[in-house]
Order: sequence, then C-alpha cells, then structure tokens
Amino acid sequence: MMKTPFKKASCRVDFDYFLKGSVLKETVESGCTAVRTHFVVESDEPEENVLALIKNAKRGCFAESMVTTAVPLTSTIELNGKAVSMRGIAD
Amino acid sequence: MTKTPFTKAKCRVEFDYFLKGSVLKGTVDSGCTAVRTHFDVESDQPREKILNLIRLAKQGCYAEKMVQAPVPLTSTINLNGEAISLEGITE
Amino acid sequence: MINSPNYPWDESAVPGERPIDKPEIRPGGYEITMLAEMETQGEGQLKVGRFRDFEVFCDEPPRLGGEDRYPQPLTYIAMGVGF
Repeated sequence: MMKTPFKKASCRVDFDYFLKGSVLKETVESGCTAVRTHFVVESDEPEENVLALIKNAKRGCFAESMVTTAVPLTSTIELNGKAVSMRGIAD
Repeated sequence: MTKTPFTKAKCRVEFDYFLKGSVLKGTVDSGCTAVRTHFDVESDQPREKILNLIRLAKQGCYAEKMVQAPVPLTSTINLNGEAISLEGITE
Repeated sequence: MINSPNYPWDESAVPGERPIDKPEIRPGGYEITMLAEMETQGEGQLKVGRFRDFEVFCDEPPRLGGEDRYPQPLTYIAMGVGF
C-alpha cells in the first residue's frame, strides 16, 4: 500500500517467559512477562517515508497486538469423542 | 511428568482478527478479538487422570497465556545503522 | 485443506489491482477468522500444524522428551511477531 522500497529489514524478538508451581499439587502456572523487538531497516528512501511505513506496519501487526492486549480465550475439550466440561478451563 | 499416555491429541485453534483504519491518515489499527480452542483427546487411561493432564498442560501453556494476558512489548528500531525514535512505537 | 472463515478470497490477485497496490485499506477494513489445526505425531514431542495446504512441525529438545528436530512451539509465536 505504501510504495516505500527498502534494501533489508530484519527483526530480533526476545520473549521472557516462566513456568512455575507444582505438577503434583496441580498448581502449574506459566506466562510471558515481556517481549522486546529490535527492527533493523536499510533504505535509500527519505527517513520520514520509511518511518511512516514502519509505524503503519507496527500498528497493523496482528501478532504484536495479540501480545500487548488481553484476548478472551475459550476452550472446549473432547475426550474419547465426548465433550468434557472442566472448571476454570473449558466451558 | 504425569506419565499419562494417550492415543491421539488434536487441537483446532480459531483466531478472530481485524485490520482497520487508514494508511494515508496513519490510523491503521489491528488486533485479535477472540481465540477459541477445541482439544480432542483419545486415551485408554482413567478419565480423571487424562483430565488432570489436560488441566496441567493448559495451565502450563505459554502460548495460551500470551493470548489471555497483556504482555509489555518494547520496540527499538535501527534505520541505516542509526537508532531512531518513533512516537508511540519506540520508547 | 483447512480454510479460514471470512477470508477475503474475492479480492483480486492481479498486480495493480491487488489490495496491496491500493493506497488505502478497503472501507470497513477486514474481520477474518484464522483457523489452524495441530496434532500429535507418535509418542515423542513431535507435532504437526496445518493451515490451508501448509504443514509445519514443532518439537522439543531432548531434556523435554523431544528430538530437537524442529523449533519449539513458542518459537513460532516469536517468529510471528517478527514476520
């Protein structure tokens, strides 16, 4: 949509994540506490064109939006062909 | 860790996502509004044991937690070898 | 073939007429559902993921009972952020 050519674009992504609790006590807990992205671009285009492109690309990035916002997740479970309800996990 | 064998485990995942706004006005917005998972397991093990395994697996799933919880995301950008600051995108 | 509901298949793929060639997102934007399926493969940690006609695999390192043949599941999310 934006005709802003670039020679190279690369991205490094770091996730900090944890797993804790007890399998035996059924208190397993996991999550991700931080995400860092580092974006490297090479282009001969005017800087403000490239920055506008990056801004649109970041705002249009579904994956970044999923990381930064809380999305409702619903689960259903089937065991041996039969629907199962599990408190706190599946409806 | 729970040593609970199963014959088959399958999961279907659905994401509802959107892209809206204007490229020209710089108001592009994207995101994910809902995620649904359907888990299908076949096993000869006692039902209680399998349900416990599923509960622990879901509690320990980094990906599900990332979807459900907002995670702080920080971005840095290099343009032609120089660090740049972009309002609303980088710190 | 695992297809995503509401995917805008009706949009042109002809260069010059594609949505990507236009200066603006279409009025009203897009609301799409992505659908993917994953399945275990045998007794190890190998799993297959299917989306449309594509297949990708994930595994775990040996310390988690896998054979380290493919990236771990979370890696695909990290890559998704970078892609």
